[in-house]
Amino acid sequence: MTQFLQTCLDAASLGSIFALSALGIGLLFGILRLANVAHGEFISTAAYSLIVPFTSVAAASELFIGKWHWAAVIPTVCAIVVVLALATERFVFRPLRSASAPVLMMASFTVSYILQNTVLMVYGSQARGVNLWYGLTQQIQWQGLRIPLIQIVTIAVTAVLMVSLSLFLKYSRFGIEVRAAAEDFRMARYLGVKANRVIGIAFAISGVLAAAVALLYLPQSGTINYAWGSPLALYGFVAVVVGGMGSLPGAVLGGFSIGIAITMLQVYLPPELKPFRDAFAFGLVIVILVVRPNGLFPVKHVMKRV
Amino acid sequence: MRKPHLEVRDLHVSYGQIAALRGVSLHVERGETVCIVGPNGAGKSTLLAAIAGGVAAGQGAVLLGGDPVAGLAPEAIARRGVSLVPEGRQIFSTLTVTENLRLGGFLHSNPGTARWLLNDLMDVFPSLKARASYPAGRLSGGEQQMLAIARAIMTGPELILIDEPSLGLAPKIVDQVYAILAEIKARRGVTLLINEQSSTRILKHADRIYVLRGGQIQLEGRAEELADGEAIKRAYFGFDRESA
Amino acid sequence: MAVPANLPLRAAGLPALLIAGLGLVTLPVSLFAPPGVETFWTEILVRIILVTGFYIFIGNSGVFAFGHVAFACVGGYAAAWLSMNPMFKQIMLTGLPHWVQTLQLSPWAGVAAAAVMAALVALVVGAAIVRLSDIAASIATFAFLVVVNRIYSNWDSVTGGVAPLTNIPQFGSIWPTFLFAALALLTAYLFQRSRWGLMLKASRDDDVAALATGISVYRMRLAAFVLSAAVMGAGGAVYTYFLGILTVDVFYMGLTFLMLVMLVVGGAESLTGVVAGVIAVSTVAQILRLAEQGVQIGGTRLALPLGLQEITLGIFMVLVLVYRSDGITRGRELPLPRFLKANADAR
Ligand SMILES: Nc1ncnc2c1ncn2[C@@H]1O[C@H](COP(=O)(O)OP(=O)(O)OP(=O)(O)O)[C@@H](O)[C@H]1O
Ligand SMILES: [Mg+2]
Repeated sequence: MTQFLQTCLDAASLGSIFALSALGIGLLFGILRLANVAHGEFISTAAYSLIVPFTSVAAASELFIGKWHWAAVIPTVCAIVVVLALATERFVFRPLRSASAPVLMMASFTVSYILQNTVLMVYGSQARGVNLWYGLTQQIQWQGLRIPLIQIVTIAVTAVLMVSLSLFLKYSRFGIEVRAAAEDFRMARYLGVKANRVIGIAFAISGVLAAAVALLYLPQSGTINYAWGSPLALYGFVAVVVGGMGSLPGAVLGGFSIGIAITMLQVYLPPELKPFRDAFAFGLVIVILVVRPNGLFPVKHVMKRV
Repeated sequence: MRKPHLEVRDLHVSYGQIAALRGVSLHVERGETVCIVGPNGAGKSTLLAAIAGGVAAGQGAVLLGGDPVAGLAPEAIARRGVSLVPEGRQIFSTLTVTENLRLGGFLHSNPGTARWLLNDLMDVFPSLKARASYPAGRLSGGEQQMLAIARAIMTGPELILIDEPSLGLAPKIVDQVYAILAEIKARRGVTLLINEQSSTRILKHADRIYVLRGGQIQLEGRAEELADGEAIKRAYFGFDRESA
Repeated sequence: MAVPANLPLRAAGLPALLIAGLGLVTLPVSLFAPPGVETFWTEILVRIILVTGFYIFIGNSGVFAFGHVAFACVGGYAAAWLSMNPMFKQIMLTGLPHWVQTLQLSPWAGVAAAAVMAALVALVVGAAIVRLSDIAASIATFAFLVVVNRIYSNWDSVTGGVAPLTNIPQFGSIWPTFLFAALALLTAYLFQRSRWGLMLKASRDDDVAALATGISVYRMRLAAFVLSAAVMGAGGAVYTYFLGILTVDVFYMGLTFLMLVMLVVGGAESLTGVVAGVIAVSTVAQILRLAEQGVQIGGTRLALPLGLQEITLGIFMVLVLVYRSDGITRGRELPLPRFLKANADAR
């Protein structure tokens, strides 16, 4: 029983990470039909901004921004990723606004490639140990459960972020514009919604979500390398597909489902099949796309596009 | 001389290889109701979308009160007092009725204007008021058409472009739609440019009519001159009854 | 749509020209060039095979499949399984069936087998994937690439996992690679001039017209998918025999990206674009790589920082996507000299 509760907690915290990642990807997909492969590099950039560039490899890298008080770290890292996200929008995706979805995906592939190699150039290819917020890795003993503090923080922060994001989308003017644009961008523009602003906001939110993923996952993983963010984004993708592409509640549900599925596979898969966990997850993507193109949790509206 | 409210000069639009408009010229005076009729694929929707900035013109000019606007983004053209009610309504089905309307009002710099317009419209459209917090996707076809029109008015337009308002609606509902359009026109003095596939009903409501076929204007005339429908029919079907 | 008379010799004007051009470079390279240049040119020929494989599906169906490198991976491992020194196979790849472990086929047979194996995998996967359209297809093929990579990196007893496989025989000459490149170009050309190829291309613009011809778009797409996978599989095998060593991550995101750049830079719509893209991008990459190694001037070494090659390539790709999305060939084929043209183009 304790074992089971422990597993549930692991699943919920991993699911939180995936759900945040999926939200960042799903938001851009809903509005722009952009399957943003570079989301993983947004996450990596957030992590790397914490350590000093151009230093040699040490067991634990020297912290840069990461040294600061957490109340300064969080906004700074968010700002860095938001600027990066807005820059990619301005210089790559805006000139390609009328391009087809696969071309957009290819462009994001390119952005990902550029950013990953920039990280390689600045920080080198070796994995780097990062001791961020060491205190969070402590465990709380409770009713025989050993609960890492970071898991509680992850779940709580995710809940707060999701509630505030949904309030923002539900009630603010920008929220209404973003939702309308996600449903039918051209019509929204006919009504005077400014494309550049809505897309800018969406990229900014996506950047904040990427920063959140990085800051929440880093204390758990402890080391980063140049491709650190990729798997987190790839699982975000899986979640977006599972949840029905373009639906935000679907992306969140998808994220938690993947978190649960991965944790359960990790625990209950026979040892000789464990290495193939990811292959199962991505095989699932293909199956869902073919069998249930609207995802496992279809939302009523079907996206219309001109 | 007074400039026409809308003037289109030698407009060409193509989608890749397909030429949808091939040199369309027309003008709409301030306060007029002008109707464009034409068969499927004539280019009617393309024409309205091009005026509203939704598709790029390959060649030609669109002038609003004498100012060229071709090439501006749709959101910029909306700020110049043009509002489009597109074919098939295109309401935001996941947004509520009120949200659909509020969205139309965001371009006003004074939020008071938008609020006043919203209240005013709820009186004109009681059926929308009763369903204000419904997701718009649950409205009936007629209600959706009303919502699309109301939403267009929320932007405070001087020129409203309406693409096939009768599409998929029962005749009785179509009458209601046209009655509403007449009321709005009487209250706000807007200019209307309406697309329709069939001219039978429109002759009653329009001041002038253009027949569009194959991406070109085939005929232009005042509604009363064309009242018997024969000339329209010939232009519409593209053959000459006499010579047949 | 008029189907041109398909007398093989007449129809083969374009690939004949491309192949002759490649041959004209290969000959002096094989005779006089220093090993570095020979390696560089061989790599170009290998890439032509791979990008042609990519092109057969993307260029004809218009569906952007991001996962085709998976077939090269399948082909590469098939080659290693069939041709690696049996002694090493028995030590490293204990999970292989005994008859495979003792086998040592020539590279020629290995390439053929690799093509067949990739085609079979493509038939199964393609039956599901080619139904999808647009972005769903792109994502599904991308997922397929991840699946194949995960399986091959972790199935240690059969693939050796992420450890490199060595003791794979090499061709020992540039000519077999040239021959396979020529074969790939010819295959692509014959397919695109075939009834199915023409109709598949037509179906991109007009589904109704394609339906009217009575062949389902699905079956034509599947045919293109399988054929392109076969060429990719052969390309993966040739690559493996060229390197003599095989690691799974060679066939992953990096190669996928490089091939996409080549295809887009050349122009995804034409076979000439494939060749032009591969040569242009490989040359630029090579120059940048040399610049990274730097030049010795006096006592100091001037060199570009490591990693700049990739970044420049990426920026180059963005510029092409934004300013010249139909590539340097603008989707056109090479203009044929008159004596070939009179016969080849009946349209
Ligand atoms: N997005 C598009 N892409 C390609 N071709 C298009 C597109 N939209 C319209 N067309 C083509 O342009 C031509 C004109 O289309 P348009 O929709 O303007 O006609 P219409 O008069 O509104 O027809 P209907 O009465 O059926 O609404 C048609 O041949 C159509 O196939
Ligand atoms: Mg229309």
